[in-house]
Amino acid sequence: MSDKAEDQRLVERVQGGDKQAFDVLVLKYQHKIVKLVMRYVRDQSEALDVTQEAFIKAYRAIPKFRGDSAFYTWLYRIAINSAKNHIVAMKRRPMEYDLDLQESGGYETHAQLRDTDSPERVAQREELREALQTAIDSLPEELRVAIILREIDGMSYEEIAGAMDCPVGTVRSRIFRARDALDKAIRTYVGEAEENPEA
Amino acid sequence: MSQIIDEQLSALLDGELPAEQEALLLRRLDTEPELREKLARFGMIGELLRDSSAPISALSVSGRVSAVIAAEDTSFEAPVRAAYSSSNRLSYFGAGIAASIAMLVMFNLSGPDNATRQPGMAAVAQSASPLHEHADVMAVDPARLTRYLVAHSQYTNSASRQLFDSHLAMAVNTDATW
Repeated sequence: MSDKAEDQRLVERVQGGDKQAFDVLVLKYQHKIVKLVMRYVRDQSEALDVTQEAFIKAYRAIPKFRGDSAFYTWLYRIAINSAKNHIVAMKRRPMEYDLDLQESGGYETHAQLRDTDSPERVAQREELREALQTAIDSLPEELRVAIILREIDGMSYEEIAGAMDCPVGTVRSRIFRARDALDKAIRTYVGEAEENPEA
Repeated sequence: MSQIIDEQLSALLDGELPAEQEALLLRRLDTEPELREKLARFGMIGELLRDSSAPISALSVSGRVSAVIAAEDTSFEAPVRAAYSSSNRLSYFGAGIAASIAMLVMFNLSGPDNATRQPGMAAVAQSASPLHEHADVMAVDPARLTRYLVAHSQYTNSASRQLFDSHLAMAVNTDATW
């Protein structure tokens, strides 16, 4: 099933009152949206607030979502608007510098000037990246291929089954086992990051 | 058992879980935070594979959003209503058509004199006349007809319903029934 189709299925569940289905959509896109918002709002704590606000706006507006565009495209626009509104609101407060936000890239310049990525956070991310790379290299080949085809190439289970010449059930199992192995490898790093989000 | 559920989580993330299993797993996610955390980490793994600079702190967003939504007493209307146009011009146009049809049917069933006095509606009266033959069987409350037509009209909103109801009140005053 394509991303658009699976998202639409979840959206219809949400429109029918299933709040947990929206939770799955949040889990699926929270990293992308945080990363997007951080192009405008560099402070991570504020970026998380803006992302939260964007998702809540999306939830409240979801009854009006007709599926003319992909769910992520629609969410993307909400997130951008939320980030820009946040910057405008911040600009109303006393600041050390003045920006003309009407200039092209003005919003992103604002973010660059407020870069607050700490050395600890940079080091943490680097450790995580290395741990993940080591874990991927350690995977048996069939698990590595399956997870790469799914996560990087975005192929469906059926497409991966065709590519790897195995049943869909085997693909599902391989992808899960790969994720499970990677999860065990990075869990300590993720746990540390959650305990010290401001580091 | 846990491994079976974890595998279902993995398939849920990929949109590859059958609908009935998806519904059951979504209910479990509501009551088992460790499942939600695992699902979040599975999602993060994908993001990290695609982009090693993906922010780890994003993991906390879903919990925060979920808490806010859970506290909201939101009951969405049925999905079919979400697709309706909210254009007022279309609303009035559609309600007007529905009102006209209801009025024509009721006026024409009130007897042949009506058709004589309103020659312009003769053609419609003729097409509607078979209904009169069943009038004794199909006694329908005009208010019910209103609600049926409005509910099945694609272009309605509360304002146009009020307009429709005012037209219907006029029709009811002619003491037409069928």
